[in-house]
Amino acid sequence: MGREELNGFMQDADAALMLKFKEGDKPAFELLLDKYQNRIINFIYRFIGDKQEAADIAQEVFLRVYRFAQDYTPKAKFSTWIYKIAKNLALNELRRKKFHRLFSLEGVFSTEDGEISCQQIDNNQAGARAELEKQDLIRTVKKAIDCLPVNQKLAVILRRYDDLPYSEIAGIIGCSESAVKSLLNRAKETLKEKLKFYAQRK
Amino acid sequence: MNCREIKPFLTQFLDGELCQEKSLEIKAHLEKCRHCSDEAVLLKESWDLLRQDEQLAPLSGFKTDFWKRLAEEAPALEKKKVIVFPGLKPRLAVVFSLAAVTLICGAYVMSFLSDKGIRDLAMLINDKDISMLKNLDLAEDLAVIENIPVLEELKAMDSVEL
Repeated sequence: MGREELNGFMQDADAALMLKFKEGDKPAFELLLDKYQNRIINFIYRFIGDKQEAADIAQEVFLRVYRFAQDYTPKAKFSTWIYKIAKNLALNELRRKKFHRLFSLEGVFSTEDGEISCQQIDNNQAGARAELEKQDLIRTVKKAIDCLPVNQKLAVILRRYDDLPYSEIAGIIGCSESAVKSLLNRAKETLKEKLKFYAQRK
Repeated sequence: MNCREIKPFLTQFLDGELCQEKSLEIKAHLEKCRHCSDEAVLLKESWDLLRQDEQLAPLSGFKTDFWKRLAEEAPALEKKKVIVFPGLKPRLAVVFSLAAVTLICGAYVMSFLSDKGIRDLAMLINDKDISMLKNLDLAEDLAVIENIPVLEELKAMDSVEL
């Protein structure tokens, strides 16, 4: 029964593991958990920007994989399927945060001169100049990615950090390959403008 | 190729996704055009800068937390399985749909049969009785009524001593 279900995904070892798990092989699920744990956490972290929340959402991703094993049919690569679950849960979290931010003053506080600031910077913090510059660069890169529209951001993360092919990115986002290329082109243009200062210094 | 024509292909050129002919054309242009060359360098460098973004190290305790959470959720999931409607599987849904359709058809058939009974009863009333009833309706004086043969039978019945 397992082999027939694989159909076009006979080469996908992860789909085979998932089918084994569907038939009751729990160690197969452990192997998948080990393989995808870090990838999924990092993907979600880059998308939503919070480590703890990324870990919580990643837990939910694997819980869903576990719970819905009986209904699993390999219609796509396993990695496409699990990334899609992660994307949807991360998007839900972003929407929830956006809604919450509209009605909350969390993170906003006044400084001594009454200025409202969303982020407190400790100017007295000791540290090597190079380390500070590196942290500044990381912050700038994060901000640059964060300002991209959702689908461009997804395409950049999946291409740059997960090294996924265009076809798989298209499957995860739910668009064509040419749309993925277009998303990446536009994203790269935007990133070039935002990171020009650092790119020119290299 | 001029600068405007080159620009849309720069990212694909840098990714090595263009055919050889196109790549050579763009390369030749970049060697002559400082502006496009600078643009290409910026695109490449900014893309490379993304690698600076930190990669989270594997979280210790992730798997332990996962199995713990699964164990905590298991009783709640078992409870949910008892509630049939929300967890209805597709095959059961088909069975219930067919049962519903059968019931609706059955109700229609029963209704049709009861109407048929009425129609059959109507057919038992003979033409003579219908004609009598019509005459009673239309008659305006006793003389007309008295001409109806059935009333003579009724009069005969009245005169019989009980």
